[in-house]
Amino acid sequence: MNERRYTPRSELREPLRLLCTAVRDLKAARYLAWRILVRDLSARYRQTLLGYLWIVIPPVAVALGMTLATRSQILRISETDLPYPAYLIFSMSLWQTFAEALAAPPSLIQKSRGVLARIYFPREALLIAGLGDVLVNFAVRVLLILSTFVLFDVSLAWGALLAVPVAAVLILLAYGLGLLVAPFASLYHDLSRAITIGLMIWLFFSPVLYPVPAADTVFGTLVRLNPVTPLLVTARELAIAAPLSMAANTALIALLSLIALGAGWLVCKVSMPFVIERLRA
Amino acid sequence: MDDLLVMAHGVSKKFARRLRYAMSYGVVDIIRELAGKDRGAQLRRGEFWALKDVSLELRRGSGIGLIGPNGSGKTTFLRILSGLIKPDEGEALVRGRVAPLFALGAAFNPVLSGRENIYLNMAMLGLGEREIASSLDEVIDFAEIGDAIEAPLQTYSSGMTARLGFACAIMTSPDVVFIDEVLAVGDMRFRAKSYRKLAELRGRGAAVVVVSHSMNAILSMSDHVVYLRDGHVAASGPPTDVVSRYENDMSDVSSSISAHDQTLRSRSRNQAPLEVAIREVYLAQESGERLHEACAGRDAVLHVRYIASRTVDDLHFAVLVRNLSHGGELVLNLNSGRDAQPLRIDPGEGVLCLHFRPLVLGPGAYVAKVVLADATFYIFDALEEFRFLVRGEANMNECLVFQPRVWSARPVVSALLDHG
Repeated sequence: MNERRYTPRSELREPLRLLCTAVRDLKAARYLAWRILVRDLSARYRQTLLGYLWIVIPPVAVALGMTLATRSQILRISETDLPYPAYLIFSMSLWQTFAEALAAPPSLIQKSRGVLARIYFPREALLIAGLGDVLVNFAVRVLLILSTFVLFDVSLAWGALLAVPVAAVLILLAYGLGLLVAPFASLYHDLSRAITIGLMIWLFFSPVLYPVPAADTVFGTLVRLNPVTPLLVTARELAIAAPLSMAANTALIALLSLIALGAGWLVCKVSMPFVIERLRA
Repeated sequence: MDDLLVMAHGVSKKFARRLRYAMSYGVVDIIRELAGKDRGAQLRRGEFWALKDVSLELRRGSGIGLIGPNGSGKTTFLRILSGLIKPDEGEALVRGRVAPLFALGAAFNPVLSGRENIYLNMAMLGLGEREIASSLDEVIDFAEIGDAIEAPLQTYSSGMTARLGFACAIMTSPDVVFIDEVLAVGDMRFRAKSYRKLAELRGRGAAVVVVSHSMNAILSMSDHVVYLRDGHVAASGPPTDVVSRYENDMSDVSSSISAHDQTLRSRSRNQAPLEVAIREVYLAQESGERLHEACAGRDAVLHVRYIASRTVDDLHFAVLVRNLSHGGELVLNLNSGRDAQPLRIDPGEGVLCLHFRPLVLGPGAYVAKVVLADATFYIFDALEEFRFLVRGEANMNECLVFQPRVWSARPVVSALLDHG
């Protein structure tokens, strides 16, 4: 019979037992995660006219605006390896997925506080479902990218599929970071606000609206230090079969993203009772 | 030992009332936990024990009731047993599947259909897809939803939603059921059905922990009652004993507002002398011995000591009693004149008596208004507030009044003849 023991002892003192419960909870969470994902997907756009179009409207709007701005010579962007509108759609889609994945864990806890505070269920289910949600949105944006490439006559080879694992690293990195801050953001809502504003600033220092600048300026150095930069660049280069310029950094960040995900998951799991104690349903 | 389903040993939990402390301690606690350090058992600044040293054991098929005033820690204790929050001291153990009947429909989504919501809610309570599919019809049937099951939940009445939530939780074939003031779902018939289902589960070995302010629910569902006050166990034992202790404590609280022995009249000298004046009001036994508090079901006499300056042939002695424990509801309106027993008094001092044979008032705090008047309702004197307490015996739980009674059973003779 399934047995649960609750003590004041830190769960990290018995890593083996923590691992056992973690595996058990993950297994128990699979079906529930699926149900939550189905709920979120079918509920979100049920009372809308445009439905899933809302996922692709932001990158399209930004692409339109930026393209018009450069055509009128107000903005001057140096040459990109893709036609500029396609470049924008591609990068904005990735960036938006990154931003969503980063903000997802704190907002999930906030949105589900009623259930969290009242029912015990493997909390992993909520987090897995949140990740699934991000992935579904990403899949829809991949369709947008593909149609844009067709529209702008960008040739696609099978090798472009290699961009998918890089995008996955981008998502995992963001989700891991989101998990790391989620419990603290649930206690201090300042953090949730900081994430929104921080993502806006982060966008400025990421090669999303412009190509990677030369390294000899302060701005260029900052952009190159940004962990998102190699991922965006490598994903694009793989998609259009261009030579890879940041392969080593990408590998390093892939490793970091796995660490962030593991640590974030641990922090979330262990701290949930303390957060729930202070959530008012 | 095998049939032990719930065990709590010395469970304590501290909270901070102020949000500022609660939040910063939250961060500290998380960091300590991540660093592999145990939390200290000492109270930090601004903290208090919401629960202190609570122990209990619950075996298969048995029930435990948790009672106590609001904020005494009952719900906190249930939340610890549910695994929602961690204890700060002690240890708790829960075996088997838990059905938390205090979180009905917490996972419901209004735009999804009833069916989708059943899947979601039951998955959250720990069931797999196949288990849900096999109990789906039973749930729809029990909740009496019928064809509406495909309609979005937001089109349901509140009763339907509540019934569906209850059905989802109860149909998970739980080993342990947590109830927190929840069987008040639906109409009378549905409630009766819920109680029957619960009894059936218990018959199959499920254990119940029930939190309620309804002593009726507590008495009907538990074999053992724990009375919590300010997070401490004030009493723990057989249901009737603990419940009467709790009810007596509750009526004490309401009477402590004012002392009930303040009955002696003090009049200012410049008031005009009354023809009949009340000097003192008190309760006593038939023997004349004064009572500190009356006892439901026993005889008691209300004494009114007066001083009169003239003879009154048809004195109307009126007593109006209000129940302070029930929001000051008027429970007795007695008048000697209306009972066609006008009293005759002569000048000088004397005592008027109202004999309660027996006193039927249930346990609680009361306030009586005593009026002396004549047949035209010309009021000689009145005492607005005479407060007194009525104590209950163990067998008066949930009784508003004392009902003198005799129980019996006998066969119906004609029925016997019919069969013969």
